Amino acid sequence: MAFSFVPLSWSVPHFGAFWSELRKDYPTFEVHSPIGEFNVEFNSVAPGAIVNLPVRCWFKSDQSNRLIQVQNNRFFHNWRRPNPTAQYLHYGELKPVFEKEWSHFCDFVQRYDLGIPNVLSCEVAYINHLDRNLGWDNFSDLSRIFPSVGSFEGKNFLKKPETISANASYVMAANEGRLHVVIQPAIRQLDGKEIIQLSITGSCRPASSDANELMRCLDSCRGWVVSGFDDLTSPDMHKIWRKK
Amino acid sequence: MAQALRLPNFIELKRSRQDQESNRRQWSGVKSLQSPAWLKEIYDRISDLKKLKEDWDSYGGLPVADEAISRIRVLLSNLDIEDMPKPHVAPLPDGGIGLHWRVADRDLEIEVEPNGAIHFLQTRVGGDSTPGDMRNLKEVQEYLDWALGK
Repeated sequence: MAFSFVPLSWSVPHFGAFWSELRKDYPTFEVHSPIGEFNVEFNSVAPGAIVNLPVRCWFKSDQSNRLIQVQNNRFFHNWRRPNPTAQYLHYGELKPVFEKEWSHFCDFVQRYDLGIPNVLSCEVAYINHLDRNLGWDNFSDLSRIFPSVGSFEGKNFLKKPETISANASYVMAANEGRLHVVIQPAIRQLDGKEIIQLSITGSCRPASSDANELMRCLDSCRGWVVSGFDDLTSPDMHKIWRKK
Repeated sequence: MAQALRLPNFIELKRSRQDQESNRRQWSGVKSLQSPAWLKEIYDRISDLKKLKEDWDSYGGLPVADEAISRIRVLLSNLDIEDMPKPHVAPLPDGGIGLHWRVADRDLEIEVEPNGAIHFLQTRVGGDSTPGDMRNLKEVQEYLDWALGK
């Protein structure tokens, strides 16, 4: 789950100050480059001096299953299953956590005179790793997972493709936002296994930055993600994933 | 007065913008199987090595060990190999796997043992060869960078 907002006057010291308030629940951090386009600003009086270095900080929970990401115009809360036997946390369990952390973030930026985040977009993303040999064997077998996707096999000349990737976007009801679907052949870096990575992201623009409106938008995005997933994937694969 | 300098993300420029955004947002890292262009072919070649039976070389060569395959897959999925040419992949008689790159006058051979240990042989054409061990991904990356003359 994520919100993007009009950039705040957020600077490097704010990361540390914010982390000091989160540290009990998120004891470790990582520093990454920001998502999206960004500017690096140099002072014209001392041309070599960097005065604004854009970064994104990760704050990780002690069980390494939850993550808060902060940059000057985005706030993310991610969950991942730390191991295959760990309990799956559903949206209904994660949303209150996101709501609480977002509320804390808003409180922080107000206390530090950074203003109130003017939210431009709400986002819910599900990232699924579809393991090879679990219902599919070749990357050209996409239609076994996604019945509406063609084989991309030529009429005479071209055989089955080695890999296929796909991007699709759908307009949400009342033009409220978009559902983006990305299908990508990939390797999971943790174990080097071949996967199809299915990313489904619902994003919509809220009517205001009021907390109730933001949560309503998240619900709407999540509804589109779930319905989109069910609609795009095959009943046979649903059976396999349920067993898993 | 501050000047703004818009910097492209040089490393990621080769990938499509959507792939880039999707992969950078997520927590559990993945690498596209479509970049570099030879990666899928090499992955399949490594998978095919599993089919080799004992004595595949008629000199008593051992079957390729699962640990070697797993280790080499993790290496390929975690290293920056975007600029590397396609390597030559070969089974080793002891059940390991070898990767060989030649870039201009530089040769780099990486051998993964059946237990996952990694060794290298670094050679410049007309020069001496230097063998050694690699303990982690960072060290492997340093030798790949050497092969590219970085």
